Amino acid sequence: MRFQEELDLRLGEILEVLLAIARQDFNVRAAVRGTEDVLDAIAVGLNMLAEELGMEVASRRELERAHAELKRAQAQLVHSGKLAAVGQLASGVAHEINNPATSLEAALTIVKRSCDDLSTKLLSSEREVLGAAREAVADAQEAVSRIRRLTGDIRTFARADDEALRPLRLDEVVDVSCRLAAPMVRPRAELVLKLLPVPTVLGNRGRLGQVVTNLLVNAAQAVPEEAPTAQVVAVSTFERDGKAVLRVEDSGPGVPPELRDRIFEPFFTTKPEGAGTGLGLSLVSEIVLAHHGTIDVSSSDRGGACFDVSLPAVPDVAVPPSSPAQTTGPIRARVLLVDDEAMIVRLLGSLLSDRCDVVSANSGNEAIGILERDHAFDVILCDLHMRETDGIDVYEAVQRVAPSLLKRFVFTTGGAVTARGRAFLDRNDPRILPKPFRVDELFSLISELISSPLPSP
Amino acid sequence: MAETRTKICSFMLDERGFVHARLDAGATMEESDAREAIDATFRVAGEKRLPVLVDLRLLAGESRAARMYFVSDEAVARYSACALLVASPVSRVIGTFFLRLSEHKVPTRMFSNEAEATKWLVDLPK
Repeated sequence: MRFQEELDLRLGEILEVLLAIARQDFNVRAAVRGTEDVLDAIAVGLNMLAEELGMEVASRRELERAHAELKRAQAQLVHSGKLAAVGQLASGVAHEINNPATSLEAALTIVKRSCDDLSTKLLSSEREVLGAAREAVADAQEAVSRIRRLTGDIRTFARADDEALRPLRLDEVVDVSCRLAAPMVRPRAELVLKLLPVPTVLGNRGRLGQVVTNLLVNAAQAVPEEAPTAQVVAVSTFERDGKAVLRVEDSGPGVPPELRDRIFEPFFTTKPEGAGTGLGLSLVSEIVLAHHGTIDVSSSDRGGACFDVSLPAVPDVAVPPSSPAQTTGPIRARVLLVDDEAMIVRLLGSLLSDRCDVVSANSGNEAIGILERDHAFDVILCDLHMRETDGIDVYEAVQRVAPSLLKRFVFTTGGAVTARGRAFLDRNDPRILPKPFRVDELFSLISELISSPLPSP
Repeated sequence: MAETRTKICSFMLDERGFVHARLDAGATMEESDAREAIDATFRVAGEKRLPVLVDLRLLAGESRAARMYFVSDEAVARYSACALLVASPVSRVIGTFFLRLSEHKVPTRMFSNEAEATKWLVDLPK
C-alpha cells in the first residue's frame, strides 16, 4: 500500500512537470529520489527536457523579437523612402510651376509698364478704362506672389535629402510650415500662432519643417472632430535659457503620464487602427536629436498635450535674408541671360534691357559658345536645369574661362530637382535666385553684385 | 599513476593511454563542475589530449550548460574521444541526452559494459 502511495505521488509529480511543459512553463522540475529506478530516470529526463525546451523557446522568442525589429526597421525605411519620393515629386511640380510663373511675372511687369506709359498719353476719361486693366494686372501680380510663396514653401518642405545644417531662424521655418499645414488643421481646430523672434540655430529647413508639420498634424488629430470652433492648436516660438523653443499645444485629451516615455518610440500609437503609423513622433524625435536639441511633452494649460522642442543657439551669424533688399538706383550692367525657355529669355531680356545690356542664350551650349569668345560680363543669370547642357556645365565653363566671374554667377531656378543639381548646390553654395522672382528683386540683386568689385583674375 | 579529483569526480590516468573519470554517487553536473572536470582531465593526462572514459553510472543529473560546455571547442581541445559508461536508467537517460542532443566534434559513444568501453578507447586510431 505504501509502495502504491509512493508510486502515485511520484507519478503525480511527473505529471505536474508534463502539464507545466504543456503550458510552456519550463521552470517546474520533478523531484529525483536517488533511487536509480525507472521513475527517477523519467524525472531526470523530464527535468533535462524542460531545461532544453526552456532554452530553445527563449532563443526562438529572441529570434522572433529580432525578426519583428527588422520588419519594423524595414517598414520605417519604406516609409522614409515614400516621404523622399513625395518630396521629389513635390519639388518637380514646383519646378514646373515656377518656370511659367517667371514668364507670367515678367509679362505682367511689361503690361504694367505699358499701362503706365499709355496712361500719360490718354485723356482723363480714357484713363478710367485703363484703370480697370491696371487693377487686373495688380491682382494677377498678387496671384503670382501667392504662387511664389506656395512653391517656395513646397521647396522648403521637399528638401528632405539635403541634410546640411545651416544658420536659420526657427520662427521663419515655423511660419512657412504652419502655412503649409494649416489646411490640415483648420477643419478640426483654430490655428493660433504666436511667433516671437528666437536666437539663430543651426538647422536644416526641410527637416525642421517636417518637425513642425508632424507636431501640427499630431495635434490636429488629437482634438475631437466635433466642434472645430471650440478646439485650438497653438504654435509659438520663444527664447528660453538662451535656446530657441518651439511649442505646439492642443486642446485634446493630452498624453497620460505613463505613456509619455513611449510616445517617441517607433510604431507606438494611441490612434485607432489605420489612423496613424506611429512614426510621426519618432521621426520628430530623431530629427530633433540630430539637431542636438531636446523634445519634451507635458500637459498644456489648454488641457491637451504640450510639446516643447528646444534647439541650441549658435553664435550670431548673418542669416541669409529671405528676399534681397530693394534698390532704386540706376543700373547699367552687361548681363548674360541663359535659359532654355524661350519665353523667359524674351520677357526677362526685354525687362532687363531698360537698365542693362543683355546678351541672351537659349541653351547651355549657346552660352558656353558665347563665353569662349567673350566673357566681359558683369553678371551671368543662368537657369540651373536645362535640356542637354545644363547650368552646371555653364558654371564650369566660366570656371575655366573667367573664374573671377563666378562671384557674379547667379542660378535662376525653380528648384533643384535632380540629384546632380542638389549635390552641386550643396558642394558649391552658389548664388541662387529662386523662380519666380519679381523684377525689382532681380535688379536689386544685380545692383548688389556689381557694387562689389570683382577679384583680380 | 596520476590521479586527481574535483568536487564531484575523481580522475585517474589509465596505463593504456586514457583518462578514467568516475562521477560520485548522487552528484549533479553543473557548468562549473564541467569546467573543473575538463581541467582535471587535461592535468591528469600530462597536458596531452587523450581519450576519456566517463563513468556516469551513479550520476543523478546534468545541466544543459554543462552538456554544452563538454562539446565546446574549448573543451574538445583537451580530450580526443569520449566513452560514456552507463548502467542505471537514470545514467542511461543522462548519457542519451548527451549523445543525441549535442553535436560532437570528437568520437563519442555510450556503453553499458566497461570492458567494451575500454576496448573501444584503446582501439581508436592514435
